Amino acid sequence: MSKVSEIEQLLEKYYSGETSLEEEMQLHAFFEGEAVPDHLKSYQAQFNVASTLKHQASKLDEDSLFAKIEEEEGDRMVVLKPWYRNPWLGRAAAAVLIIIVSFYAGGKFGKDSEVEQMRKELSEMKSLMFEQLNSNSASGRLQAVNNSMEMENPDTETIDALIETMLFDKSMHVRTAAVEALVKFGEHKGVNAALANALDTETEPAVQIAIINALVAMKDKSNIDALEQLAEKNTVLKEVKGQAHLGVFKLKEL
Amino acid sequence: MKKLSIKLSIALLFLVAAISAKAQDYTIDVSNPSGTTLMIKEVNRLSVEAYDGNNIQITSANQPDEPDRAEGLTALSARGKDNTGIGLNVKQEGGEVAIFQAARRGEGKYTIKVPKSMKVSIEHTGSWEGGKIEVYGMNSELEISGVYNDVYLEDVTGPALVNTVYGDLEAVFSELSQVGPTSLVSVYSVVDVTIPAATKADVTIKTPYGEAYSDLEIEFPESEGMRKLNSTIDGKLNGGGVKLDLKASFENVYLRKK
Repeated sequence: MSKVSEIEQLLEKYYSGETSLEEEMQLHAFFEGEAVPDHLKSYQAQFNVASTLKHQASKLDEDSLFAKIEEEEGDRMVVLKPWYRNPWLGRAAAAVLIIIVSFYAGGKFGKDSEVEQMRKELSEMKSLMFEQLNSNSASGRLQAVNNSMEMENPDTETIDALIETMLFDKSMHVRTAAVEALVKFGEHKGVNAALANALDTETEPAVQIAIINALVAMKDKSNIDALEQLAEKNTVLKEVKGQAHLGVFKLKEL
Repeated sequence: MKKLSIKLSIALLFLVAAISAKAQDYTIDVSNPSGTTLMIKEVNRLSVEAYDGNNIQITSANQPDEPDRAEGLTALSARGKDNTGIGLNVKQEGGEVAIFQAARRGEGKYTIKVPKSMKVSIEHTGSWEGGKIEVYGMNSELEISGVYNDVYLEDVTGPALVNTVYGDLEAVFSELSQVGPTSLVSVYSVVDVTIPAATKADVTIKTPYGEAYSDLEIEFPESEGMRKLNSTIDGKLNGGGVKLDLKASFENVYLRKK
């Protein structure tokens, strides 16, 4: 009865959890069979239950099974906690408090501070400048543009006024100064495009040269087009064309 | 002998008449000189002199005789008609008096005397025949814009904004007004400026293709590092003051003391 002793060994292995799948199949086959010795009959029931269960199919198809699983999980997610226990509420409240406190502090201590003073001076300077820019005196308008160069960080309104001056002022001295001021504020949006436009409309040689130098100082390769266009115009003086060519060369070298 | 002297005196009379016909006058009445701007446009060979009066007085010299056929007619030009009899068109409107050259007058020269306090603006956009623009003794704001014109200023105070393309620009200041900036620009020719030694100014000289010369004590800004060598000179005269810009794009700038 070597087979019986073999089965006994397998059983021992099975209960210590060391059997392979093949060996388990062997056990199932053995207990399903007729020739089960009496001393092993107590094990028979267990192995037969396992094999009947194995052949039992679920009444649910795959989709509804997953749906059922999710449903159960969903139920588990609902955590019933009172609203004031939500941790995010505390964090939001802290943020709002910080903002309120800083506004309060800003209003209380910032009123007569240097920042406010500077802002006031700047707006006074601006209104004086705008008034001067509209004066009949070309020297006055030149003064206004010269003053604008002292500004640390002019606003869009000031930049627009300078652009308009550069394009339309009657005096070439004032237009030249506006070009120089705009180069200083070159990082502002629209300045580069305005300079290129001005080159298209300007007819005074000295101002043309100032604009060429400005376009080179902007270090923007897109200005090459504007310079090349000027160099091809018939109405432009030879030396000014030469300046434009030189500008194209410098920009291409960048 | 008596006959001869009669003939001579008649000849002399004709000569005087001819000369006086060649030097003609025209006067413009101005009610408020200090509130008036005088615009002089396209007038060839022009001299403007400031004086202590209240009217604008125009004298023309070297005027050619009108041809016989022109009797009873007036000279015309694209800029308007000669409404002064001396080849000029004068318009007076509000606070502005405008003088245009209406007839060609090949060799003619105009001298315009203006009240000292009047603001003067001179413009010449035309051809080579513009000739020299001279201004004497002005001490209010002065604007001159020329193309082929030489410009000569004497005994002026500014503020002066002067630019010419092909001409020389020479200016002798009796003092430099601190009212507003002065800017003198010539593209192709020299800029030669004389100012009193005690003048207070922030001076900027630009000569991209030329040199700058001076006998004045120019204080250069203190800077720690190396100073960039370029064609722009920024400095102060006598501690600084009004802005004085001098620029000769392709020539030299001379700044002298008086």
